Amino acid sequence: MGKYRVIFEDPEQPEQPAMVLVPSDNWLEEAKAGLLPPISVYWALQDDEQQAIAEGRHDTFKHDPEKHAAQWTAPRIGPLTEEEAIEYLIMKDIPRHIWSVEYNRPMFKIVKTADVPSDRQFRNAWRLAA
Amino acid sequence: MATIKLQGNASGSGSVTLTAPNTNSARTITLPDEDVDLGNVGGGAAVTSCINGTGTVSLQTSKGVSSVTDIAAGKYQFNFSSNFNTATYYADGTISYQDSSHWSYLSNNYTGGNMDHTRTTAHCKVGSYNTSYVDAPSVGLLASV
Repeated sequence: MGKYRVIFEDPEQPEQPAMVLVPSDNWLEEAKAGLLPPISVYWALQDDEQQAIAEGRHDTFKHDPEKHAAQWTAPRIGPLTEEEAIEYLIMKDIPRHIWSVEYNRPMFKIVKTADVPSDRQFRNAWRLAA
Repeated sequence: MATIKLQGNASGSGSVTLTAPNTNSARTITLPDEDVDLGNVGGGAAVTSCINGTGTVSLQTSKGVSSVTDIAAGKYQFNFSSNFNTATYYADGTISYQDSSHWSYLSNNYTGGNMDHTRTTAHCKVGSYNTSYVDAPSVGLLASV
């Protein structure tokens, strides 16, 4: 089990409780082995898909074959530490407006796995502490 | 007599090791008489993942998944290692839970409530709904083109 989790909130959904990003151990191993493409490869795919959604053509949307293939063909970025891999994962799997925009309080935090509550009785009331 | 040929890769610089199991028996591996890609045995799903959605959420299996997002009680999102080329990929999520006597499972394509089925080529949401959203000890997703 990875050492870290990422807790984040979405400022565009203020009623939504805090969310927790749980990294895959297999993916972390790939990151440590240097098998990941540059993060810009994923951003290019996200941009194209978001544009298709905004234009109402998501049902027929297909990624550009060259950009899609770049996930496997782009030069690898080399081995990452677990901390670097978590930063990469934030930029890949958490919506960009959460981590790329400065708000009047932090919208995400990297925490130790052991610090995430295991008692989920009030899960829908979780908030990110200031 | 048919022969076995081991072939390296001129482009790579790593080494590949075949390892024996911890056994005292003689074992034989019989190869099928067809082309097989071990990177895609049986043409398996691109994504096969299962999480324990109770306690501190954890991934139990995670083929093709980079992470899972614990959104709220009974709501989870599987984030893929690699994007599918279209959002019309096949996906099937199921929730397994234990009733009074045995394990049961429920396909979570439940349309009577307010399940969030939105997805992109990079992620797919799975929910566990029983009158209200509830955490489940086994939440699985299969996805493939």
